[in-house]
Amino acid sequence: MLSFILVCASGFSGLGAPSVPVAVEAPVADTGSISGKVVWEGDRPDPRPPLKIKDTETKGCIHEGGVDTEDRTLLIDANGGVANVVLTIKATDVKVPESPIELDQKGCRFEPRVIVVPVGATVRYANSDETNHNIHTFAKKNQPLNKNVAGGTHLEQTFSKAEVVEVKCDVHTWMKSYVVVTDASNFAVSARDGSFKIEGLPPGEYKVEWWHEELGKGKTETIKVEAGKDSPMTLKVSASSKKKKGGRRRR
Amino acid sequence: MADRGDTHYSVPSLNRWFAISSLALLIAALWMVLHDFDRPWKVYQREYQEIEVQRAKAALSTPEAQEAIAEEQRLASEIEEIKRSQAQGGGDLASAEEELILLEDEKAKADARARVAKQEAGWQRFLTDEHRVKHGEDAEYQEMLEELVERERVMMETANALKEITAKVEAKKAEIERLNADLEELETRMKLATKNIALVRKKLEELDPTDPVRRLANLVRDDIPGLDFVGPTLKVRMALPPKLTFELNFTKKPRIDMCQTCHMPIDKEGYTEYEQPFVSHPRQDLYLGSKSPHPIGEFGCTICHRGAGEALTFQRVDHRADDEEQAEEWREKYGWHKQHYWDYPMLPARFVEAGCVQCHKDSLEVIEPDAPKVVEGYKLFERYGCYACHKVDWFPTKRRPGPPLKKVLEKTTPEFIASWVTNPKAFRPTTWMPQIFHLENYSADTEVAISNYGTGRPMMGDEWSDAALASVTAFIQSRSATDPLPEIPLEGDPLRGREVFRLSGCLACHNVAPFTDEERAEVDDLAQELGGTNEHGPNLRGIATKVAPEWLYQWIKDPTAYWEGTRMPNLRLPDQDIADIVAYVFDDPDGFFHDVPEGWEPRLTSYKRDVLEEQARWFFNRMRPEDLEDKFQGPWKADRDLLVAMGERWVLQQGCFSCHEIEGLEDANRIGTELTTWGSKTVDKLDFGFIPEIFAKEAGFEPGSEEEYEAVHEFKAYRENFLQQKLHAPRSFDREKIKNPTERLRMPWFDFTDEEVEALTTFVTGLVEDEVEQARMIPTEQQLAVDTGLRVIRQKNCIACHVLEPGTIEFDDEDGVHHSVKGQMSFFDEDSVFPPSMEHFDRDLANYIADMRDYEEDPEWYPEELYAQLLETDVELGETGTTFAISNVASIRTTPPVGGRFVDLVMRYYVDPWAYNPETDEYDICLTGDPDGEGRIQDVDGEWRDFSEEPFDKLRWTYAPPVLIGEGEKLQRDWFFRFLNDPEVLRPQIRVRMPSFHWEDNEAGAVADYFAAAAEKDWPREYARQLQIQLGLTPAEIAQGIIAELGLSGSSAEQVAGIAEGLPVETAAGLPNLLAFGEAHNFRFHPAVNPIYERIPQRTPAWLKRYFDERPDFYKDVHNLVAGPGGPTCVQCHGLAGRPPTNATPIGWAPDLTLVRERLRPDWVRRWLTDPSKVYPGTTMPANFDLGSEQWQDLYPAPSAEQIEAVTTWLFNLDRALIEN
Repeated sequence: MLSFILVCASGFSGLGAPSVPVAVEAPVADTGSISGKVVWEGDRPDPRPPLKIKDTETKGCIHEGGVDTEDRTLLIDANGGVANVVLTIKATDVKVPESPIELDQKGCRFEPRVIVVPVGATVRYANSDETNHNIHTFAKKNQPLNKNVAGGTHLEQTFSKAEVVEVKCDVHTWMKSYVVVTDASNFAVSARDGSFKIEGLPPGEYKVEWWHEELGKGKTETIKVEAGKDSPMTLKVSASSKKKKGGRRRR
Repeated sequence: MADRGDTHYSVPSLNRWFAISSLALLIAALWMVLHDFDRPWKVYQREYQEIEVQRAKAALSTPEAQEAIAEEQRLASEIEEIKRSQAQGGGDLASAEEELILLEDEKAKADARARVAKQEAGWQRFLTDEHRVKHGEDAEYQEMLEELVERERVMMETANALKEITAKVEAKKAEIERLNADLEELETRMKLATKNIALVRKKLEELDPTDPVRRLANLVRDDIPGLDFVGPTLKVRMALPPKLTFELNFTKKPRIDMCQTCHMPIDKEGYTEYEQPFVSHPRQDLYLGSKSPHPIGEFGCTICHRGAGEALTFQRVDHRADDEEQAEEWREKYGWHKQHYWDYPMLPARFVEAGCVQCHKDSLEVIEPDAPKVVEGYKLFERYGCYACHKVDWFPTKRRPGPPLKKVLEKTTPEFIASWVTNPKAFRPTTWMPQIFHLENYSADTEVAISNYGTGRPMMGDEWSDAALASVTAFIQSRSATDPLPEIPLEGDPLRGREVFRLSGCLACHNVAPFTDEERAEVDDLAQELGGTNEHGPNLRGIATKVAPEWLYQWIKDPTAYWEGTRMPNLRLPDQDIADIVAYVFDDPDGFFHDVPEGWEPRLTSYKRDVLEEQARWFFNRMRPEDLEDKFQGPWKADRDLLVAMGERWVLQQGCFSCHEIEGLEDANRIGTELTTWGSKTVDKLDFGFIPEIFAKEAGFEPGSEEEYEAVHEFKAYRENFLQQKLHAPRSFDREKIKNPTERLRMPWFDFTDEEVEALTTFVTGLVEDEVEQARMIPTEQQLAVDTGLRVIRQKNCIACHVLEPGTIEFDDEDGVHHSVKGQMSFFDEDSVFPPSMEHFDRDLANYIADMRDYEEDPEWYPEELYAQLLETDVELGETGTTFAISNVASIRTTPPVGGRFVDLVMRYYVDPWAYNPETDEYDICLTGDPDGEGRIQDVDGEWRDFSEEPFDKLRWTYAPPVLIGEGEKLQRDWFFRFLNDPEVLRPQIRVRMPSFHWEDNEAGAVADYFAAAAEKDWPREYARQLQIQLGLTPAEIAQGIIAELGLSGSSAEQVAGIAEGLPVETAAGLPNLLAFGEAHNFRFHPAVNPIYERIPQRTPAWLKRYFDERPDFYKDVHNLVAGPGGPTCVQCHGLAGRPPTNATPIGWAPDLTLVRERLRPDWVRRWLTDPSKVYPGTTMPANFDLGSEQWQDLYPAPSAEQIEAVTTWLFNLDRALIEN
């Protein structure tokens, strides 16, 4: 059981990306929440080697201390917390935010690695660098997009179908992120330490669905949510939940 | 006359008998006339008339017709009303018309009066003038002058009166017209309303008149003998194709096809619900219709269908049943049997495509979609190398179909040769090499010969064949060079070899499929599945037991060194790659290359010396027996020498040299019958042997019985029977025959399937004497380019790697509307590793549903909708690249793209390079050369990368062979031609090799032309344009020329004349007329392909001036935009004049921009720069100049469209721009 509930302070949480750590009080309302942590079970894989990026490729990438070369495919912190796991619950109708959800290109990396976008919402692809980037979405159900975004400008796109969309910049081949378009009403992305909190849930019993770019997807057991209370939960993921290669399914 | 009593007969009774017999004769004569008159075809025509009457009545009772009739009645009553009101209301119109008559009468009178007055005035003036000249101005003159004045006054008066009355007439006319206008308008409307039904009514009135007099007339002219010359409705109808003749007893007579007499609606559309002969031809778009390429007036029927066109009974036409069931039905119904006195019976439905060959020798590839069976036969004829033994003078493929044997010992062993020739399929079940020995006419259990010409022991077929096999092996061995090949200079790495083998392209044409269907069903590896294009080359399974490693190394390095005409191309692999492949094949970690079918064992054939000697006696029967016996003791004493001598005889006799080049036998004559006009050969020239009798016996007919006679004759009546039997069992016509062993039939056994036999029979039956020279399709140069190009593309197997046409998706939308679009089904979901197969979509969908039912724990789960991407713009669904949803999932049907199967193999390799391991029941065998076994693949920069983490589309467009859809619009023809001859590296990161092919003649040109021609949609326009330029004629002159020289008349002449008034030449004249005109003026359209694309207007001074006037530093400005910082940074991915892209990883590399100028076409470049995803959906290239917004204004201030134009211009002048910078 987790002894604290803390949403991490980096830009890695899904929506809104709060800029300072906020201790979340249990909301006094008619909704409840689920919070907890995604943790790695079993032997931890060796951390991935840093990306190989050459100086010639990073002209116009605005970042202090050079481009971040961390491989963010699978991030496990010292305590076993797994970052960038998307957790969703279909509790009510989808709430479409009024303002666009931002995916920035900064220092020749996408920030954040993964964003969750309710069906019908708009994503604003920004470019905070001086160099040109292109937004190449490998959408299968939404219209694909491959346009450049000059330094300091932005593009917008509205998603109408739920799917996981990989986003790449072809100019800088290492740049990669995911737009998780969901038809779920409540969701969260696990923070750097694996912690998450799904709020605003009407009382009831839910199964949490989760997805991770490397580990695939799954569902938890039923969790009970009561009004005004927080239900704790720990999601254990391991190497065996790793997405299987093709072959046997022939699709 | 009374009986005189002096005769022995009674005259009155004789008279009676005369009367009776003459009456009987009269009745018989009448009956004969009637019977003769009532021809069988009239029965059909009457029946057809009934159908027509029914159809006309039905047409008049449709809602539309009913509506038209109602409208007609309404208008009629309106007209009636108007007329009536006119008549009643004092008759406005009637009285006006009466008044007009009166007025016109008056006008005529006034006119006469005015003319008389004018003449009189003129005469008076002359008289007056004459008087003045003769007599001066005297008193009489004064009188005359007065008279003149009076006359002129009258003239004026009458003229005015005429003017008045004319005005009145006009006014009256106008009044009448006004009164009539309403009526006329109504009548026009009525005509329009009844336009569609008027024809039907007319027809109905003709066939089934309501007027009793006409009814009677119809009866008289159709049904009374002797009166049927007065335009009967029942009559013989015929087509007289003007240019087609028929060979009859050494003369050519015009073809007359009377088939329409019974098959009346054959050239009309819409007769589908009736029985023969009252049905339309099923392909009106292609045949008989006036707009089809084969209108009935020009082609008739028998040129394609055969049969007796001038016959008018079912039997005499020589109809032909398609199967026994139909034959039985016809026998009962029509007493049908073969028409014995006709040599060219109708082709049954299953062979009907044979009729295409005679006209389409130069366009077989083009007609394939409409004549698949005969073209399949043509391809089989090529693939099995039939043309090598059987001459077909026009056959385009000439090379020997089998490999040369001049250096065969470098490649394999005598043991292998012996076993292989014995039964090639025992080693490779899919080989095209036929079996030659141990066939039925040397069957194992029969005596073939008696030794010593009848004095020794009987020799059995088995011994005979074995001795032949041993001699052939010895002979081939004796004629093969034996210099040892050099050793392989490099050490190979088998695991790396596997990667090279799988990625370089070997598996595009070859497969390593297991030998049996059951084994193949168990593998999950595209390399081990048979897939059409990967059967182009031989199955490589077991190959390590056949060839020597040194030979394989040399073969891959340069296939033409061993076999000049081989279709195996040179992949230009580095020596290390070749050594690795050889190491892979011989180390064989996958166990493919040492796997041989059960029972296969290479070994020399054992033989008996006395059989060999006996064979020599037969083969050398011109030698004196003593000489021959001397030879056995002398030069042929050693078995080896006798074997070689006999081997040569056998090779010559069996024709091995036809397919294989053999030292010393290069010019030997083909052994097969020439087939150029085989289909015209009459059946009596074919030796059916005793096969018909044997079959009749097997069918249970009593020998000598009438049934047996019928069966035998029917079998012998059709040349196709001979051919099918020959193809199935080539030596069966020797059955039950006693024949000299050296004279027995020689055609080898190919083990054709029934479908192959049918296709080949169709093709060979179609090889007939040229009776259609004039009507034969003369392909345009464009069609010729397409035909040759398609053939070469097939022969070089281009479609193994390149997609030529996207796949098709058919589905019903939520409104039940059916759609058929070009596209690709999208990934089912984010867990899918590959997009669903377009070939096995149902299988993949079923797997997906099963997976999801597990995951959702819902046994009823079914996808709400699936997604697909358009690969060709669809009017309703959107532009190329659009993703669309399909909600009626069950209605989806997919057709795979044409070509590109190897792309799937490459993608499998990059995305999921793991093989199934039965020991662990996991896919954990790494198929790549990764030394760590982690499935990484070596990139061209030497790095090992895990590509499975890259998006599928990105890999597809970067590492797989390019699609060639619309490639002709993209590439300059000349560059393409050069590239085919000498491929240059465009994308160094692609591991698949574009091979260097061995092109014959103009094959490379044909391929380049094909793509250019296939992309060229308005070819007639270009033809017309070139015609004008080369002949120096204006469009109007061309129009005049066409009308005058081609003798056009009527509406077509009018249309052509319209060119002078500005109608476009190509559409107004029509391509056939243009071609005829061009040909008459010796105009040849060279090059075959539209040269418009080769003109690069971007390089002309006038074009450039526009840019330089505005920007003196134009090149520099665009260079900054393209390559400078802050721009779209094209050089991050594209090289520029040999300078590599700034991207460090090969996945981000694209072709050098300097290639554009000679390689691409400007229109395509413009389209590409505007929105690359609409050209290649999924491509890595982004839309850099978004038309919806203005970008890069600090670098090149102009709207996006102008920026695109500027970049295009810069690209096509890059050579100049680079010099300047």
